[in-house]
Amino acid sequence: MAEISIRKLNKSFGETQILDQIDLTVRDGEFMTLVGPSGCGKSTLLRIIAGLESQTNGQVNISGQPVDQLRPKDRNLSMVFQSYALYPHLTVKENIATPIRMRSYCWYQRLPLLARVLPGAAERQSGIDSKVAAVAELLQIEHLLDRRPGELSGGQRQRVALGRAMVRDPAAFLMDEPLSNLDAKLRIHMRTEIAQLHKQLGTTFIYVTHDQAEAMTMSDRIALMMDGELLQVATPEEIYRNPVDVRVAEFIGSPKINLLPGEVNSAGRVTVCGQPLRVATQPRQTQIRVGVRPENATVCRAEQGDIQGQLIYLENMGAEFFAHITIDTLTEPMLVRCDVEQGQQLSLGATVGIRIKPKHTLIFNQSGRRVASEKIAAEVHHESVAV
Amino acid sequence: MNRQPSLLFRLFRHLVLMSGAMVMLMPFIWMLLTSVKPPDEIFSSELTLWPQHWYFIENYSEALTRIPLMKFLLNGIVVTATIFLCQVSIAVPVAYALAKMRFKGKKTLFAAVLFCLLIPPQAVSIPWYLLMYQFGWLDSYMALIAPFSISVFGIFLMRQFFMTIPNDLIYAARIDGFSELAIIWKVMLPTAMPALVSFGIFSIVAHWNDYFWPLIVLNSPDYYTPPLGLVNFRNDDTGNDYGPLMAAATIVITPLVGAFLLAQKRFIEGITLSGMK
Amino acid sequence: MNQSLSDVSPVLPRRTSRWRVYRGADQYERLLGWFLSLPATGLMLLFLIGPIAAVLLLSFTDWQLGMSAFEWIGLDNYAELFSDPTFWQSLKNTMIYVAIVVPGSVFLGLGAAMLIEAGKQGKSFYRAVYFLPVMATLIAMSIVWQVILHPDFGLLNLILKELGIAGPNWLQDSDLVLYVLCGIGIWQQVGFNLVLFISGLMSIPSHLYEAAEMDGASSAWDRFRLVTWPLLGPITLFVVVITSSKAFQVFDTVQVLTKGGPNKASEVLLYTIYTEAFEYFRTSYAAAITVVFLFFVLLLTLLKTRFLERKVHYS
Repeated sequence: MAEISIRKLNKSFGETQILDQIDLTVRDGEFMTLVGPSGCGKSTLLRIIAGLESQTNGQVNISGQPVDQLRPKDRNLSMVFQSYALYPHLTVKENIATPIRMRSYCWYQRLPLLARVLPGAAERQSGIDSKVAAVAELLQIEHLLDRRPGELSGGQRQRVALGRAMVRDPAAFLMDEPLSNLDAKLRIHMRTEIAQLHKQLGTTFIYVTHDQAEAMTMSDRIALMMDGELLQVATPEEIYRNPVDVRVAEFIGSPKINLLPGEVNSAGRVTVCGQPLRVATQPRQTQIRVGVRPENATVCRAEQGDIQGQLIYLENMGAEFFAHITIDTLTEPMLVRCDVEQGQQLSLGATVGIRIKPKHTLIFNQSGRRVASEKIAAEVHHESVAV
Repeated sequence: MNRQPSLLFRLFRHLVLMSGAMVMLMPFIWMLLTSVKPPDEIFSSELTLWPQHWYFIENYSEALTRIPLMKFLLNGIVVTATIFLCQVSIAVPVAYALAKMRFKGKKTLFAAVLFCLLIPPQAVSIPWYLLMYQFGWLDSYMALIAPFSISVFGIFLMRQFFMTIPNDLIYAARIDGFSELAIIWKVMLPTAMPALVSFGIFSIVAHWNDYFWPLIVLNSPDYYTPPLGLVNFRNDDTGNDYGPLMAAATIVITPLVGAFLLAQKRFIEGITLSGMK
Repeated sequence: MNQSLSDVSPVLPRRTSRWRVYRGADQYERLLGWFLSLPATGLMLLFLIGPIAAVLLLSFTDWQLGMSAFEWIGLDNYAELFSDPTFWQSLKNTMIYVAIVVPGSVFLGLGAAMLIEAGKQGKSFYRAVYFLPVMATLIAMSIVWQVILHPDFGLLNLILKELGIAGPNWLQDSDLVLYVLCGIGIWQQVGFNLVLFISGLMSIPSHLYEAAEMDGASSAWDRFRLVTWPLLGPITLFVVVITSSKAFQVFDTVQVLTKGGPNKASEVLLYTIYTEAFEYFRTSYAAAITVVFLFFVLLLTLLKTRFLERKVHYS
């Protein structure tokens, strides 16, 4: 187990900057997820930690020791790959045993024939066998040990890849989109399983994914990257409620956050589409964006809403409804969550009002940074009523 | 196309293909028949297909004793096997580097490989001969093997195959603690087995059957490969003795033809590979 | 679980041994790339790139094997070459050989491939039989052909005799000999082309034939014109180029059966190069012929490369 810290890390290929001044500390035993859209540099960062690629400058420390001069195998890390990267010509058992064989034997002990006659060979072999058996039991793949990767399903290969990573008790596990080749159902199942595995092992995990749902459900903390930049590092709860950047707010959460163009008057009051909201922030800003998550707004009678629009589509999710409402001055419809009862009463084409919960409204300035905002005490109090 | 062709067409198909097959097989059949006939039946002006007297033992033992045919076959095996081993041990590392490493000059090197693919070996036989002369290797195994130790075709083929192996597999092997040479021989090569087998067949067939180069560099029968030995046998004064000559020809083609008949699919893949060049 | 694993390796990263300086993955890859390419690069320079340059340079000198000095004589070798009737004979014979063997083996290969694929029985038997000459050592088979073509006791003339025809002396008749060699060349090449055509035919999706039939192409010829031939086009071009390049390199049968004779009636380029370079040791003159030979072969292979690049765009 180990703490992994990254200091002022840069990576560029010629002119292109892949990673820009990354500072990140992964605490001992933590499940840290690196999340971001494809091409944001998260996999490169993981490979730099593993030593598979080298940084242009900056430092990687494992347990306080700089490891930049160490080869991948000497960093004592395990890695699980998107394509699983199992050795196709070896059985499952041999695949899992490989990391320990390579580490606990020196070269002449690995020779094909000689190895068997060397003193101590039998004990070494039985030591390896028992470790492989323990891992196989934990992952419930005992019945697959003699097969080759080609004969396994995607989910089984995934488990074997995990087994190969677990077998030698590494300082940390690195996982590079390990679930993205699985079908949707299995992916959701494996989320839970990997999260539980982390609890059981108590080892540091660094997990790379482009799927914000995986990041939200599995992690202790999330590091959100975009365009080679580390935007925010926080717990799932925090990153959802308090995104520091409009790109973070957009990336996290499904369905996506609504972003409405707005302005701030001289008194500091936020207006959207010419309608004042009960939200105050720093005065005199133009071109701000107001972020409202679908669950932080309600549909109401037109005259009672903060803004008005036309209901064009109702998405029935079973347990809830999402109302798509177009607003005259905006290009994209706004998404608002309603409960089942209300959703069933709404009729398409109707003009409705939208009430925005001021407490959860997020204000982003011109450059996309989050600015502080607060609720203005209500002058008139009215309930949201179904249309 | 799913319906059954008419009986007439089926007969026609077999008739045409069968007569073609007879033409294809005729030299082989005649070779086998002649190799078991006594001289008076071979040199008869009457057409007799089946031998009246079997002269099998006489002809084949003559073929094996008059010339050191076994020695030639052994030479052929030694030379083709060594060439193939050299080609693999030189081509595989560079193919791996070309497919998976980032280094300066890689593009130039690959362009050079593609250029060399265009060179037929006969076109460089004069400089090769001069090189062998300079090194003092004329009339030796070295002369037969050295110029073929590099196979740009092998490099190209293995590189194409390695390109299809995901980088993750190499990364996994590095983290697991394989050295780079172990990655090449223990991870990449076993994964590329199908390509290697095809290349092996291609290389072995090409060099077992090669005549041009051995003809140029060899003088003494000690190093003769089977084709050269066979021609030499024919050129002998006694070479007009067709029975033993055909027996020798049969012996020379048997190893490859036999292997081909056992593993047709692999062989056809391997030989047609040369079409990719 | 954790206990059973904890003794495997130390938790802290280990040091790389002191005498190996490691400066990150990128530099390691760079050095490794060079290191792994070194043997192949050296041998390529020694045996392929260097020799090609040497042939070119030699053809402008008067050097012969054994001479200690040489002079640059510019295009003299080429001038001599172009005024040498043997060279023209040799070039002409090679062209005739190519012009007969290529269409012969391509059309026979295509026809046989289509017949084989048109039915069900005997597919792999026929394929193996037609491929057999490709596999068999050509030198050995040339000697067999010599026996078959023997004027008095050869199989061919004995059959002709049964039919009441007096067979010629196939390999000694200067009007016939080149065509006999062409026949052997076709016999040897058909199977190779056939196999390529079969793989081309198998890659034509069967629903195209169904579509053609729905569109009213009812006869076999219509289907051939509409589907088979256009889709086989690329592979046909490919087969033609390979076969031509092989035909240009004809040597084994000539050397074993005719030695270019009689009266240079079967003299071909590669055989001329061989005799000039390794029997008369007129090295620089042979180099000049090699350059001409190389010109034709490279022309063909460049055609093929151009074509292959196009094929990559298609897929």
